[in-house]
Amino acid sequence: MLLKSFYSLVVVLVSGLVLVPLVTAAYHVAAQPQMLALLVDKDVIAALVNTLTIASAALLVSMPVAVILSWSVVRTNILGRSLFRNVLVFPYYVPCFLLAVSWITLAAPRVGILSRLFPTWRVDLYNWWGLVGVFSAAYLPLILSGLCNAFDDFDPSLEEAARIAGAGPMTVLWRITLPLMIPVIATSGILFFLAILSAFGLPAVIGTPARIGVLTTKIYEMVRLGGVDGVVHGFVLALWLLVLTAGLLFVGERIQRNNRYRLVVGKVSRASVITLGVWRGPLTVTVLLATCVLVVLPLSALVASSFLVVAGDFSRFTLRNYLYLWAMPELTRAFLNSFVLCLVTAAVCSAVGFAIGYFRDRTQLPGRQTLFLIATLGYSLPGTLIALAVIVSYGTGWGIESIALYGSVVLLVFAYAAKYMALSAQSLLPAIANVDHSLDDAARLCGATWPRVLAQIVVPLVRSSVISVFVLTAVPVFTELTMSALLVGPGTETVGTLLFQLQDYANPLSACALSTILIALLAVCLPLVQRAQGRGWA
Amino acid sequence: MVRVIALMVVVVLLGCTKKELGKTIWIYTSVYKEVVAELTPILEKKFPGVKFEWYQAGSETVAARVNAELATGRSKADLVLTSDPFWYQELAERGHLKKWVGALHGLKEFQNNLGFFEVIRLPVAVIGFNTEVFKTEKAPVSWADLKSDRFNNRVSMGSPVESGTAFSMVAQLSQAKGWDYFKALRTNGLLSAGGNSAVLNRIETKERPVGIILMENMIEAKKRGSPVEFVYPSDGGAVWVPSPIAVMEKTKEPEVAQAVYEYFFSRAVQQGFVHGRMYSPIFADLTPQGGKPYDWLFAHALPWSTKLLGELFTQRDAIKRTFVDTVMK
Repeated sequence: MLLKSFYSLVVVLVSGLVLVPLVTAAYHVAAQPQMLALLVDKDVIAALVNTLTIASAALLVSMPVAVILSWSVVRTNILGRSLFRNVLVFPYYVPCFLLAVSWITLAAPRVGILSRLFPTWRVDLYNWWGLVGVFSAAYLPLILSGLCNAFDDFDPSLEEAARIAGAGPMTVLWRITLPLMIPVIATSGILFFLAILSAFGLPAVIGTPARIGVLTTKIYEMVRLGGVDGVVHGFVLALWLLVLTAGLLFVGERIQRNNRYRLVVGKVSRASVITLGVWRGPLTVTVLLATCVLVVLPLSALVASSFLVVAGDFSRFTLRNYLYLWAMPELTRAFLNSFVLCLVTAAVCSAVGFAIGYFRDRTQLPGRQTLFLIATLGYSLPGTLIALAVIVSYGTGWGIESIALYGSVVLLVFAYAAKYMALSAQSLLPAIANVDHSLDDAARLCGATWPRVLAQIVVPLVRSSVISVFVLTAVPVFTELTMSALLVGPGTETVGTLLFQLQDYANPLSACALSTILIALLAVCLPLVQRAQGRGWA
Repeated sequence: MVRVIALMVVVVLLGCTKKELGKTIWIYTSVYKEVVAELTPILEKKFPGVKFEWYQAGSETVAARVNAELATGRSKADLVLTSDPFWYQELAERGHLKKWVGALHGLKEFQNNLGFFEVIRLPVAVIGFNTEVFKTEKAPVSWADLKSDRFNNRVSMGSPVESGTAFSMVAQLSQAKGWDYFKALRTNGLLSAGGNSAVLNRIETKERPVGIILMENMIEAKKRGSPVEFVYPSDGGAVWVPSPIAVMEKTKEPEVAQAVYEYFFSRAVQQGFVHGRMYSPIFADLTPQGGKPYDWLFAHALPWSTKLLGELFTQRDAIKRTFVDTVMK
């Protein structure tokens, strides 16, 4: 009974957050069905093809790199591995839009820092490969963090068995470890793909100058300058994204079903570290190089830009961009608002995501698969569209002014949760699925009720994943730009809207300054989180 | 159970909404924060007891938000004040704007002939350049110059599918110079992407040291110490970006909203816009610091009229499509 009540609560929440906005948007499309012709418009199809090829190429580039890097920093004894791990995942927390801007600072033709240092290389990121490269670099941490957590939770007994049977470390990696990792590789790959489908800032600043349009930039054009019908046009184009998402989720589902291994079986707590011998040095250097290219380079460009008098002129430095921020009366308010919003959203998302994963894996309740699917839909939609759908469905209170949420912070939580719930559901499902049922059964046999099994067996075992999902949600929400820009009212400014305003039209260098402050804050806070995460296993 | 939960949700929703007392006027605008900060006390002094709430974002973001709100029936905005006249034309045609019944303001060229909206401020687009790349004697002096070899792969402008001001520029330049002009610019490597701040950024970083851009951005950058300068082209001194104001049809406070509308044409408010380096369509004697006088500009800039607005409006989609096919592919 209790289980069913909880289940219906989660169903109501998920429907309210994801289904209602989607259905309302669909209702507006259905009112003008002739607009569906837009789906097969020549330019739209071209954008669709670009989106798919770029996302696939980025995935092909990123996945091997992510597997090697995560394996190196978690499972081998390379020098400074925990430091590398933290630094490599770090760009995830920097808004992608700004990462793209810093890559432009580095690699714009003729004037980029790299282009000036190496004039013979003809560095130019305004092309198809540039777009794929920056996408791969910017979204790599998304795969990396999933893989690292999975390597953490890995049950080493199978590997040990193989070692005892005489297999070398590489054979174990290839024949035992990687196959066991397939479900995690698949879910992180899907998240990566979905994130690229919905990415807007990055293709806008790099794709548009390269004359490469993707679906999100197309939607953005429709919504921004498509006139009164533009919103509906945007909703129509989003159908492509929804179809792609559903397709990807289906594939993910199949992979999960065909690979039902339980990695955490409760016998040993920690995966063993492989001693590399002569390979230790070369691998350390490789990881160091990757870290420099993927993280240190773009972040230092961003930090350096924040001290410039004039964008791109690295000869004169100033603190003016910081003073400009300091003088903004809304700065404190924005930080406070964002702080509260990100905690609330992350709490909602982790709790609901956990529940969805739990229902999906551990119960036979009707509709649990559909619930999981619905919760995941939001992730592939561009923020602009989610924000508009939320306004359309909750903003004006269906004609009743007193329940109109317009300009209220609640609307922001709705939009954030609709977008990020997918992340928590997708990441927590494999974590929960990895905990073997035998542990639950053992507890049940000893007489524990299901809430007790949940609280004392399942939750503690996936604690590290829950904390990581909480942080993975909270930090991007803290700086979220596109949805916030549409949804804020007076007094509800967030750090994201401040960033957007500065970057989009007030003072781009101060946007770099604000990001630098955020980077510094994160560099202090994240290690603390990591310690909290580690304690669960001690 | 489901009923209990539904009830809880409703209670939470009700608890979250603020009950507002007194009169509140919502203004959605694209003018810069500094201008809003200057105008708010002036408005509050003139209208005691009225609370002014601003939603401030780029023109297109404002339009997207209003469009989404209109799709649900009513926008929360009482007044809109952004820079894309074509959007106002559409709002007026669809009956979303309240007609102004009093006398129209300022110059006839900038009025909507039916009185649904009027131009309240006049940003202008000019040619900006980086003085470290092009010394003043080598700098472009005319629109035609941008076609020359000297500026091959050096020129950028905003994208008319992303930015309303860029659309105004494209619409008027294509009208005045013909599409051949843009064809030649494309052959010469014209880049069109983003909005004004993106163009400024490309000028400053020398990625594209020449740009078609708003005068206010250039004056502001110069003041900050950027090595940039701008010219009023000899063959059409500037492009007006006529930026309207309008009262929404379904405003809850029609009297106050119209009084505020009227007051926006007063010298006090107009002064605020001119401080933001835009021109005033009402007071020709107000000149933005660092710009040429209104009369000179009016005599030299590309011609603007309400009729032209109507004509360009009907060709809006065609203009965008032609531009995308000519320049952006």
